Amino acid sequence: MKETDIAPDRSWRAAHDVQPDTEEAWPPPTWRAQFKAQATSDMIEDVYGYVAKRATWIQHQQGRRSPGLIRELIQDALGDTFAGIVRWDPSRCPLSLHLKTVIRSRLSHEYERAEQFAHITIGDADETKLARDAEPIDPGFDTYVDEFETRLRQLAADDPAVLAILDAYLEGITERAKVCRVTGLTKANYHNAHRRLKRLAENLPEHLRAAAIGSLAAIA
Amino acid sequence: MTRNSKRSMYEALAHEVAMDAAARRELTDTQRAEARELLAFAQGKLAELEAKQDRCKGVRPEIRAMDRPSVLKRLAEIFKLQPRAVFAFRDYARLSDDDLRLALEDAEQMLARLS
Repeated sequence: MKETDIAPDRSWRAAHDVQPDTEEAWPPPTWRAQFKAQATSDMIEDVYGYVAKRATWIQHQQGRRSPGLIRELIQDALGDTFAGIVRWDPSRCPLSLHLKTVIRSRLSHEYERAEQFAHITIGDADETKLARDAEPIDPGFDTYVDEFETRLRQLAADDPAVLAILDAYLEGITERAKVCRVTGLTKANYHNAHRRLKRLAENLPEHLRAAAIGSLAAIA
Repeated sequence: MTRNSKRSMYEALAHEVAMDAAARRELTDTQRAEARELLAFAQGKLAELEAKQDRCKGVRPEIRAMDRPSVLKRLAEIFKLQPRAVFAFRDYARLSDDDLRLALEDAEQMLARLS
């Protein structure tokens, strides 16, 4: 572009006190091209598989089905990504990881919110709205998590490496290198024990649900 | 052990188990069909955005960046400067934001030609 071509534009901008537009319209062409390239059947099945498993756990912990939950979580993550509410930088992470991270963050936020407002009771008239807004996904969530941990410990009772990793998780340490450091596990031992821990945890929500139904049936 | 640390442990395991499940791609036919619908939703959204950007393709970035009140204000200024200028449609308050920006681009170009 010649200098003379841009001069009128500059004067127009100066005359109307408009700041130069340094940002392209969102989303920029490179972003769109990356999105198109990565938005494949395999990518969406990866994300769907992640959300479907998270949804299964949520349904077990809540003790009820949540129809439409998977679709809602994925659509919201996509919609917010398009709107730029959650920024996806294609040069930093793949689209599938971005969407899973957004969904994980949303779900984690629900747990944190439950903790943050746990002291507020519905009976407090001034704070009823706040308490309602802050209502956890499931009021029995903490009892469920207690039961989950107890059952996990029972299942891993004769596996000290798995128990050591579980203890590290309870200390908030989940990164492999740090877990190895605090537990003294070698990388190989960690790898195998971590796999055993995940295998034990995988079907636990279903067992807890079945046990809860069983005890309810026994009471009845 | 605090409530929060137990929740964090539970969440971390839920995440890891779900990441493993995602890698296995073990979806039912119904889930696969819903996944395809979500992909179509994403592609549709992208197409919408592209169409919107294409509509404003000829509009200079400064106008694209302006909000509705600024566009209306600038159009009013142009009418004062060129009261006899003929515009196809002057009821700008009823136009969409994109149409308003297109109208302002036309008006600015007309003003540049007249001056």
